[in-house]
This record gives sequence, structure tokens and C-alpha cells, in this order.
Amino acid sequence: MSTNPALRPAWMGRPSVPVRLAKAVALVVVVLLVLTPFWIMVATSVATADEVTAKGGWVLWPRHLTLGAYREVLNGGVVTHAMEVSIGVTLVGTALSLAGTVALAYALSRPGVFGGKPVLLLVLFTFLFPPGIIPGYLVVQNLHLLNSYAALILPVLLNAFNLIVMRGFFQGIPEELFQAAKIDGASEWRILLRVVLPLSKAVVAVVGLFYAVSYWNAFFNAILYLNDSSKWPLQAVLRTYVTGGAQLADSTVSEQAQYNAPHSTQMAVVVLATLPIVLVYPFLQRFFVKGVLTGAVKG
Amino acid sequence: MTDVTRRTFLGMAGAAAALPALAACGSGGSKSVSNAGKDLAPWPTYLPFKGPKPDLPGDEHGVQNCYLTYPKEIVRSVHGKVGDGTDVTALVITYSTPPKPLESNRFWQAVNAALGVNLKLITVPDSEYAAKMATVMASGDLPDIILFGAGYTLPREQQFIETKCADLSDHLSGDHVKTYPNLANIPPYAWKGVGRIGGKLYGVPIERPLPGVSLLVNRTALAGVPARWSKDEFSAAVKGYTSGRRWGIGGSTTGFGQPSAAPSYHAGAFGAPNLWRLSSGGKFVSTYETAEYQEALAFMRSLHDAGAFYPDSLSTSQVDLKSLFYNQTLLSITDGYGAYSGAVTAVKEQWLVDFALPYHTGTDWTPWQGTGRFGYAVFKKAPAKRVEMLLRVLNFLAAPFGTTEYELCNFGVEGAHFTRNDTGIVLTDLAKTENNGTLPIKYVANAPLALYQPGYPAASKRVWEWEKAMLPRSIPDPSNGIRSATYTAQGATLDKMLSDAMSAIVFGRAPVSSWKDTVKQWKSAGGDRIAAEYAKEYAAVH
Repeated sequence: MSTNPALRPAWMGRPSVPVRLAKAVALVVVVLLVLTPFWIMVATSVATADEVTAKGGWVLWPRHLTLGAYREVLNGGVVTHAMEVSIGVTLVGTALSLAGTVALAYALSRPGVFGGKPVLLLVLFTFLFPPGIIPGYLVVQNLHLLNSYAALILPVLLNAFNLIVMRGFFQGIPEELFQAAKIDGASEWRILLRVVLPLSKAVVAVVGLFYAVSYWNAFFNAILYLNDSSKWPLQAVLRTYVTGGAQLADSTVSEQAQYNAPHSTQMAVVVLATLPIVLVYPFLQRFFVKGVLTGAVKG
Repeated sequence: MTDVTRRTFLGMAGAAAALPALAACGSGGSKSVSNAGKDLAPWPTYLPFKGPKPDLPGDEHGVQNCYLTYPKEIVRSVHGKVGDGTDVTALVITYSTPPKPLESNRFWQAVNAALGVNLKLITVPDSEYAAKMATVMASGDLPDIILFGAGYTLPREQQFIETKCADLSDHLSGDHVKTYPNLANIPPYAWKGVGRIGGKLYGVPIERPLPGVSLLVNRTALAGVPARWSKDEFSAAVKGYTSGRRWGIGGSTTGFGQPSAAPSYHAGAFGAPNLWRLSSGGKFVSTYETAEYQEALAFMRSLHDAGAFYPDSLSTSQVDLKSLFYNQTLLSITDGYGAYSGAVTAVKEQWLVDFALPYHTGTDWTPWQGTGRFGYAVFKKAPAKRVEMLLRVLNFLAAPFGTTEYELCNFGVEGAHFTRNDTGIVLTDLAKTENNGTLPIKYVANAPLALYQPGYPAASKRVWEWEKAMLPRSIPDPSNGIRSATYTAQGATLDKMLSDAMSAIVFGRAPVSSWKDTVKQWKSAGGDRIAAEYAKEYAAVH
């Protein structure tokens, strides 16, 4: 390609100063739009309850910084335990989901596997017709999983979308590599572990992130399946912080918590719930585009 | 783990397939749950608790007993054994964060010790309550006690209760309730608000005072304006307050999500009937058909046109609306009786929170009463002995203000959760995490609410004075405590039709004149059927 600017097509040329300036302004605006809610969240969490009330619920620039909301949240024991549950469910769930997805995606990506087509159709069926709340509950109940952490993992162990993405990625691996491995005497397991997976770090990272985020964010299954609220993960507890408080419970009265958690406490829990994902995301971001796009256009 | 057998699988598949059909057949109605043609169990006898003398006494109109200071001497209302040492499970709603586990929760431990049972609460956040109830009802795996109501009417709720839950008539009707004196202290309006199913008593009410949805105002900002104001004085006050980032009146998605909520204060001021008017011929006429309701809508519209209505009312949650009221962005908001206590605690009397009396419009004012109950507890079918034990548990939890049992259930353990000073109860920091909000035993059963606001006696007195002036003029909803199969099945859809039209009119997206067409559509879509069903049921129980 020519390095002479005059010979470059217009769209490859260096933009003029006003255009670059406009792009910079647009980027700054977008970044501010994204960051402002986060900032308000953090700022409110370190403001005093009185200041939050005086400012109508949200604080942009706290006058008196306090970690009281974090102390209140972390001292009670409920949030810290819920965080441990969330971390455990996310780690175990993601590991099991990845193992299941990798194994099934690999099997379905190989040509001539016995029963491959019907199994694929079954997977696609769940894509189109997800189970309703009540049938799902009845299945969990009849499997005697109610009130166990397994109820948060097993019903959502395999995600059809993630499976299809991963299968597509595996199908993109050159067939010659499989043949070479077979000539060297490798079994299917060995091919998967020694050939396919090392070439699929991007898609495994992305699908792992998808699973991790969905396990981390799940609250509805916990509320449905876990009668003992001491087993709830962080997001279910967080939900009670941010949606509790007050409702016009019927046309008669407004029910409310006896000690309505102030916005500062609510935001402290939101910060704690968001932090792990925000911390993990940058490390996986480099795999993200590659992993999804590669899987998305194959197969 | 137990394997799913083929039979189990087919059963589950069948149940899953049948559920939508069950839900859909609600409109057809089931005659078995109707009270028409049934022997009616007598209402429980009312035996008011003779406890500590209130500073400001209640009355027969539903005005609450008011205590400016905590009673010096409290009494014991429950004698003898309550529980039998077994596990008791109860499914209840919660508006709070989860409780600390039993082993580290002194409040829970104390309640269990006093009840003599191992109380296991299945707490469900308000936003997931309907979904959880649907699954529990479908599963057939029921806890001992289930809270119904709480702002929800579930599909085929009465059919479920009649089929799966214990008939309490033999334990509670008439003088039978005297075995449980604290349940006999629950006022008749609360029992009637729960109603009967097929002539039988199934539910024990969670009582709430009679005032319905009302208008909370900033009394300090209204200094000089008479409490019993005129429509013009009201209008001038809210318009006068409006300037810059301040508005005279605010509403929320919740209030404008129900056709009876946001306009109820104004409808009562204009003399509209409370949801239904019972004509002399026994016919039910909807308030939405009346000229008075339409006048109320037109007045609300005029407030919007004058810029006095908070413009984001249709996208503001009730929680955020309160925050805007607390920081005086809004002069007044629509909210229920239960919001008062939280508002007083939030603003700490730096300015005065108060309820507004209806403005006078030249006609009779008809403040709308509420249902008199928050919800009701029903029991899973069980042998009579266990039902009696569960009723003793409820009897303990419903102990009235001024008893040691009330003190435990509402304030916790002395020294740990509260201390006393000259004015009464002072809650400790531990009470912020261990209380009957996080461990919501108050939604299993509770005492009739008394007016007592620790530390804020003047605030209690203001509510008492407001009740004293308002309640004698207030009117009940004649459909309270009776059921319409059509409303149970289609109520949410029909209400939405009305609330969408109401919001569009108030916020200037539709002319006031469009209301009549909406009501016509509503009547033909089910409103007329609801009126006929209520009329039939009303005739059966009165």
C-alpha cells in the first residue's frame, strides 16, 4: 500500500483538524454519558444519608465523605455472605457450564457424530421455546433441587446461544489439524484438549465471561428456588435493597421497610455488586470481539 | 438426587400445559367460591383490647388510638403454651433486606423462644411476589401459612384457597374467636375486607387503618392556608409553590398505574363514590362513570396545564417521589397512610409532614376509605390440632399495642434492640438490621395499628386530628371483601385501560371529553360484567 498521502483513497486519508476535534468531542460526550451514572452511584454511596435526602436521592458532589454506608452493608453479615455465595456460584457455575458447553459444542461440530443433528435440534428448540416459570419450577421441585445451590446452576447449565457460538468457532478450525492429530494416534479427548482448546482461547474466554456475568447477575432463580434467604446470592439481596423501601402496596396503604435503606446504602451495595465485573472485564476485553465474531459467522 | 420417572415427567408436562388453560378460564368464574346461596359463617365477634389508656382515644369511625408517649405499664396478653416445638413455615412478602441468619439474630431467636416453634419465613420481595406465589400454588408443596393479598389478586386465588387451605370457620366465627383474644381484637372492618369464600372464613386479616390513598403535604410550606381548604385555596397553594425546580403536586408510576390511586384524593373532594356506588335497586355503578370523577380529572388536568403537576410523574417511582417530597422539591404527593411514619422519620420534623383534608368544592366530600386490611394469612390444610396451634401463633403475633408480646414483635428485646427513656422507646443500632421488617413476622399476623411515633408525638397528634376530621365523612368501597370472577381474571387489563386514559388526560395528551369513550369501552370489555357480579355477591352477603 502506498505511503504517499496523495495516492491514498479519501476514506483512508488523515482527517482534517475540525473533524478530529469533532470526533474527540463526540467521544468525550459518549464517555461522560457512560461514566456519569457510575460517578453518581459512587458519589451517592459515600454521601451522608441527610445529604442524600436533601439532594433528592442522588448526589453528584458529596460534601462530607463517609464510608458509613459500606460499614453498614458489610457489618450486618448478610451482604458479605451473599457475596461469598455469588462468588462460589459464579466460579462453580462458570466452570461447569464451560465444561458442558465445550464438550457438547465439540461433539456437535464434528461431522458424522451419531445423533448430532437431533441433539442440535433439541438445543435450538430451547433457544426458540424457553421454559416458563412454572414448568421450570416444577422440574426443579421434582429433581429435589429446591433450596439447594444446584438449583442456581443446573437449570441454566447450558446456554444455546453460547453453544452455537462455540460450535461455530470449532468448525472454523482447519480439518487438516484434526487429521494430523488422528494420524499421530490422538483420541477425541486428546484432540479437544491439546489441539482445539489451545486454538480456542478467545471463544472460551468470551463464552466464559458470558456465563460468569449471567451467574453473577442472576437473582430471579434464587428468589424462586431458594426459600431460605440466607442462601441468596448478592444480586437477590441487592434487589431487596433497591426495590424494597416503599410501594403503594394496594389502594389502601403504602407499605415500607421499617428502616428504609437510604440511597447511599443502596448505592454501596450496587458498587459492591458491580465491582467484580468491572475489574474482570478489561482483562477479557481483548478476546471479546475476536471470540464473538469468529464464532458468529461460522457454521 | 432422585431420578425423574416417566410418570413424573408426563405429570409435569401435563401441569405445564394445563396452567395457561387454568389461568384463562378465570373469566368463566366458578360458582363454588361465590357466597350466593351458601350458609354464611358469622363474622368473628369483636372484643376490643382493654389496654393502656390512649392519650387521644379512637372512635367508632375508625379513628385510631393515639399514644403520645409509650405506656408506662404494659400487660401480658398471652398466657400458656403457644407452639408445640415443631417447625412452622410461612410464606410472606417483604419490603426489606433479608434477615440475618437465625444463629446470629437475637430478634428471631427471641420470637422463636416466645412462640415455642421454629419459625421459618420464606420471604419474597414485593416485585417477585406474584411469580413466586404462582409457582408455589402450582407446585402443591405449601408452607403452613401463606400471605395472600398484599396488593395482589392472583388468578384463581379463591379456588386455590377453597381447595387447598384450611377452613377456619369452626375456629374463628362468632364467639369461637374468643379462644384467641388478640384475633378477636381485630376490628370487624378488617375481617369484612378479607371476606368469605363459599360462605366460609379462611383468612386472618393483617389490619390496616381505614384511611385510603391520601395527599401528603408540607404543612410548614402551607403556613397560613387553612387545613380545610377550598378548591381555589388548594389550587392557589400548589400553583404558588411551583417555580423553577419546584412543583406543587407530584405523582408516580405506581399512583398513575391504578385508576383509583392518583385521582382518589381529588375524587373524594368532588364527592365521587369510592370505586362503586350502590344504587337503591342494588345495582353497582362504577365511580368512573360518574360526573364527579370526571370533574376530578378535569381539575387535575387544570393543575397540569398551570404547570403545577410534577412533569415526570409518569416515569417516577414511588420511592423517588418520596425523596423529592422529602427535599421539598414537591409540596404534596399522593401516597398511602403507611407512608406517613417513614416521611416523619426522614425529615425529622425539620418541616412538618401532614395529611391534607379534602378541599371543599361546594358538594359533599367523600374521602375514600381503604380496604381495612393489607392482606390475610391462610393455612395449609392440616389436622385441627395443628390449625389450633397455628392460630395460637397468630394470636401471639397479633398482640395489641401496650402488651409485652407487641413490644417483642415490634421493638425486639429490651437492652438489645431498644431501651426506654422518659418519652418511651429508643431503638438501638442493632434494631436497624434485626427487626420485624427484615424478619417480616408482621405479615404473618399483626396487631391493629395504633398511632405511636417514637420521638415524634406531635406528628402522631396531627394524624389523629386529621383522622378525626376526615373519617366520619369517609365512605367505604361497597365491593370490598366480595369477589367478581371477571375482575379477578381481567382486572389488571381493565384497570390499565382506565389508568392509561386517565394519565393521558391529566398530562395533556388527550382531552377530558375522551374519558366517556374510555369508560364506554371499559364497560363493554368487562366493566358491566364486574358490576353485575358484585351486585349479585353483595346481595348474597348483606
